[in-house]
This record gives sequence, structure tokens and C-alpha cells, in this order.
Amino acid sequence: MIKKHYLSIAAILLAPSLVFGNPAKKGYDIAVKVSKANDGFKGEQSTMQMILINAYGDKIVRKMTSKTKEMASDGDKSIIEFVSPADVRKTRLLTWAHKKKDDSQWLYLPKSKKIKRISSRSKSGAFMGSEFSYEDLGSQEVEKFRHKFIKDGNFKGRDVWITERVPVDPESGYSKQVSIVDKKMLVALEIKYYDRKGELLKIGSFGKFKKYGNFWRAGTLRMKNIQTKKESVLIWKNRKMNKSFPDNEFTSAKLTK
Amino acid sequence: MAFYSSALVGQELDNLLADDDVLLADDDEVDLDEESDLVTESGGEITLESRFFQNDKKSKTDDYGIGAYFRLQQGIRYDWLSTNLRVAGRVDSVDKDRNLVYFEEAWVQAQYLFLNLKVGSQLFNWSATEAFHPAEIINARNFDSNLENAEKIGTLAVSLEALLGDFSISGYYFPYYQLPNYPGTSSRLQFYEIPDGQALGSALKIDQNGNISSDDYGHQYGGRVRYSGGSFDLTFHYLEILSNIQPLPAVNLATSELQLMYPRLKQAGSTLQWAIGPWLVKSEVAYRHYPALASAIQANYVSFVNGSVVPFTGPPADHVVAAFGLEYGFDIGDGAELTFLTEGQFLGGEKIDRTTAAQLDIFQADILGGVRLALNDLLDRALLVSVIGDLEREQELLLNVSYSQRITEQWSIALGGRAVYAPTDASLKSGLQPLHESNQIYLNLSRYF
Repeated sequence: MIKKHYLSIAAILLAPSLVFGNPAKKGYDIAVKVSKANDGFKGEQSTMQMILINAYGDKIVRKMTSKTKEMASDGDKSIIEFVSPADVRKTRLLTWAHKKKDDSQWLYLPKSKKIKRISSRSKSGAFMGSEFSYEDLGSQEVEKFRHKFIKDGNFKGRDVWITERVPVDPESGYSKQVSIVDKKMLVALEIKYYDRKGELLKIGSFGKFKKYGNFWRAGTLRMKNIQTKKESVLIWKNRKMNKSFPDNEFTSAKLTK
Repeated sequence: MAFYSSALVGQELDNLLADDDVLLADDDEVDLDEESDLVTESGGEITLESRFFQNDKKSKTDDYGIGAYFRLQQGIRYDWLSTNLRVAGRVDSVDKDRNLVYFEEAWVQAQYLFLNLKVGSQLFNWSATEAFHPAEIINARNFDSNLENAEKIGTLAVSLEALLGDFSISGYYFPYYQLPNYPGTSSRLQFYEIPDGQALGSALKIDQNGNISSDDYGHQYGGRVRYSGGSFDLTFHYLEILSNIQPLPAVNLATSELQLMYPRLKQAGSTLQWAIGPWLVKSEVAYRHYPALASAIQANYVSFVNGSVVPFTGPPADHVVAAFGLEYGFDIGDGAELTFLTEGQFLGGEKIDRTTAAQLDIFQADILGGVRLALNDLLDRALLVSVIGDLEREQELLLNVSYSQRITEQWSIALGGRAVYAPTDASLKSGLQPLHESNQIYLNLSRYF
């Protein structure tokens, strides 16, 4: 009788996962699927405009170029270089994303020719006055989060998964992120970022997707800070995929060249 | 009220933002600009500078300064070939000795596979720390700029670098003796002491044989190995150059002129930047060896030590200069960042007593504590407060406060102050003592283009 009682309890507890699947596993599988859809792009290059909008609607525009190299055994390597405004021209941020440890980042300051390492704590700081943090600009490796599937849904007429991911790094500026992932394009359409207190901090909305060969890429990303009412908009132009970069292009020594 | 305006204004900006919430781009939308192999870049800045010192009640010194600093740059890149010209200078309406124009960069660079060859006037930055820089000895300095981080003058060099994965190996040849520029006699930031009635004569350069060279050109060289990967950057270097950091004051017995002698220096050193979680560990270490001077020099010169004339002993004995630093930064919300930093520099050697150490470097045993607040906002507002104290000379303190922000995309301001406390009864001052109570405030307005 007791054994039957325990079996019943176990059945009640296990039933949802048997019917709906393990949310953590499904969330992880979706993340892997999205990551694999991006495998093989080799290298990417683009110019970007970043429009910073304060709470009063005032705007400032920064122009950048970006290069990304896909790495087989670890996260991607990327360089962002500022083109304008004039006082930050040729400032460069080099990022080596890592799957299982803190990303390595360097900042090159052209006036003094100094190359400065960025520590992991600084990564939650705002990148050049925008609503994007250094953490946001690092490669979003699957291994850096614990994933959970929430539900299926519909977003702007598209079938989507809604998933939640929690950063593994305790130094992260976020307690969790909720993503809306397009089932067909296998890209995030929107990400909600929650601060360390668990309150909604920012919403990142992707738009103007375009297919480059096998790869979907967003043309715009609007990051809206719900708490301060400030926004930053990234607009990509001149995007080229399947670019081949020399190995030494993404080294700190090359930052000064 | 908008404090800044965008280079993209009105309709053009609104058009860019209008349809960013459209999910799919038009298939026939073209976003590719024409690419050219030839890329030109130009720009610069002009800064209106003003500085005001606490009155020292000396008629021969200027207690204020109004001037303009400029920097102009033009670069061209074509495939594997590039060139860059960067000129800087200053005009001061009060202290004419500050008027100066100099090359920072004027080089041609060729890149082939993993090799880079650069020839011309170059700026080098090997620093890992923020305030103390034992490794930074290649570029001569314009010491008549600012005390904390004097402007660098370009050095004529041939640099060959091989980029080998996470390593790079570089070799350097410097054919020209570039000397530093010092503040004039009316400057409140004169940190060397010239005895009354003494004139400063021409500079003396020591060549690789220990003899005085009348040439502006001579053989100098060096090498550097750099590893940058994972969580740290580590470098080792060796340099054999004319020392532009520790000139020796010597009096010519024949002419009674006080002359600054620049000896030959051999330096081996290392730098480290190591990100450990939220900490940044930094260090710069240098071992310095000065080859002996020719005996003729010893016979024809004398020097001052603590106000007394003594036989000229030549360059200092071998010594080590080591600087260490720690940074800890954390997010304080809304993208702002607070960083605590501390650094220390120590100079010493088996045959270097503490008096000599104090004469070799202003910061011979000093500790810095500081905090930097960066709001990382649209105005890029940042505040830095630091204090440097001497561990051996109790009454020696340097306090620094600086604030900067952008006004518009083209304009920015910087203001701050410095207080120096280093009293002494000695007839000949050293370290920070010549700058005792050279307290100043400054306001700079910069235009970038």
C-alpha cells in the first residue's frame, strides 16, 4: 500500500516532464540548435551605426566597423573599431569569447597607443555610453548559460519558442534573460534582460532580418532600458559573410597596426 | 535642452530609426557601399588650455598660463602599405618656452603575411600600469606638458615585428638621439633644481663607447617578446639606447656651464597585465645598467650633490625599478563603473643609497591610491581622484583630481587640480621638493575633427 502510494507520488511528479519533456533539456536543445544554425559562417565583416537615445529623446550617433572570425574549438574572436565621433576614432575593442571561462577583452586607446586589458567585473559596464554592456557584445556561447524552455508562442506572426537562460558566471550583470526564438530562422527576435534583483532591465529587439547564404542576420537591434527610458539602436550595413581573415588579425599586437 | 547634436540630424536620423522594428528586410534592399583599396583618414584636435597656480611670490615665474594645444593626423592605407603623419604642438601666450611643435608619428609601414615593417618617427607604449612606467623609456618626453603623464615625442625607428599566434617578436633600431624637452625657467613645473647664477648649457650625449658624441645620430637598438593570450599579457624587452629619463647634471670645468649629460643605458625589463576575475594585476619591472664613461669625461666635469661640488662620479650604479598595480572595478548601476586602483614604484640597487634613489626618480618609493568613476553615459563623464605618497620621505604628497566630459560630439571639457606638498630645508631640492606648493587648477576645452 505504501509502495503504491510512493509510486503514485512519483508518477504525479514525473508526469509533466514525461508529457511536456524536461524544460532544461529542451531549453538546452533549442540553444544548441540555434548555435549550430550559425556554424560555418567562417568570418563576418560589417559597418555599424549605433544611435544612443537618452530619456529626453536626444540622439548621438556612433559609427563602427566590426569583424568576427569563427573559431572551431572555442568562442568567436571579434574586433570592433570606432569610426566616429572624432574623439574616439580608431578606439578598438578586441574580444576572444570562451565557452567555459571569462571572455578575454582588450581595449586599444589610439591617442596614447595603449592596449588595456578589461577585467571580467568591468564587463557589465556600459559600452561607450550605450545600453549595450561589454557582456552583451561578447559571443553568447551555449555553455555560458543554464537554459530552460518556457513555452511555444507566436510573435509578430512568427512561430516561436520562449526560453529562459541564466548566466553561469556569478559576476554577470543579469539574473536571467528571456528569449523569443524564431522556430524557422533559428534566431532570437527579442531578449528581455533582468538585473541582479530580478527586475526587468532591458529589452533587446531584433529586426530587418536578411538571409546571407545559409545564415540569417538581423539588420537592427534596439536595446531599450526599461528602468531609465534610454535606448540604443544598432544598425548593420555592408555585411559580408564567409570572410576569410588571417590568424593574426585578432591578436592584441595587431590592435596597434 | 539638448547638450549635444548628432552629425546625422533630423530626417536622415529619423529615417534610420523609422523601420527598425520591421522583422524582415526587403530582399531587394541593397546595403553594400563601394569598397576601395585606398583608405584615407584625417583628423585632429585643438584644445584651449588654461592653468592657474598658487602664487609663489616670485617675479620670475608665471603663475598662470593660457595656450592652445593641437594635434593633426593624416593616414593613408593601400592594401599592404600604410603611412601615418601625426604632428602635435602647443602655443602659450604667457610662457613662450612652452611653444613647441613636434612629430609624434611620421612613418611608412609594410605588412606581408605575419611580418610588419615600420620606418619613421614612432610612438611606443609598453606600459601596463597607470601612473608609474619603468618600461617606458624609448620616447623622449615633453616634460613641459603635464606632470602626471608627459607627452611623448616621436622617435625615429625601424621596427620589424613578427606576429606568431599568441606571440610576437620585435626588433628595433633607433638611429637618432631624441632628447626630452624641459620646462623653462619661468615655469612652475620645473622639477630640476638649477643653482642660482648657473646657466644650463647644451646637452651632452654619450655614445656606445662612453664618449661624448657631437652627433645627433648614433646606433641604438632593442628587442621585445610579447605573449598575449588567455587571461594575461606578458612581455620581455631589452634596450640599448641613450637614456632620456635620468640625465646627469654635470658642470663643465672649462666653461662653468651646467650641462645635462645623457648616458648610454642598457635596460632589460618586463611587463604584465593579468585579468583575474574582477581584478586587474599589473606590473612593470626594469633592470638598468649604465656602461662606464670614458675617463676624459670624469676628469673634465664635476657634479652637485646636496648643494656641494663633488667629483663627477658618472652614471648611477646598476639598479632595478619596479612598479606594481591592482585594479578592482565594479558596476554601480545604469552602466556606470567604479574602479579602485593602487600602484607602487620602488627603485633600488646594491650600490644605490636612498639619497641617490631620490635623485634618480621623483617616485623612488611611492604608493598611489585612487578611485575612478566612469558614468559611461552619453556625455562620457569621468572623475578620477588619486594621491601619491612617498614611503621614505614622510612629507611628500601629490594629490590629483580630474573630471572630463563630452559637451557635443565635437567638443569636450576637462578640468582638475593638483596639490603638491613636499617641504624641505635642503639647499638643493630633489624628488617632488622643487614642486612644493605648485598647486594648480586647470580648465581645457577641446574640439575634435
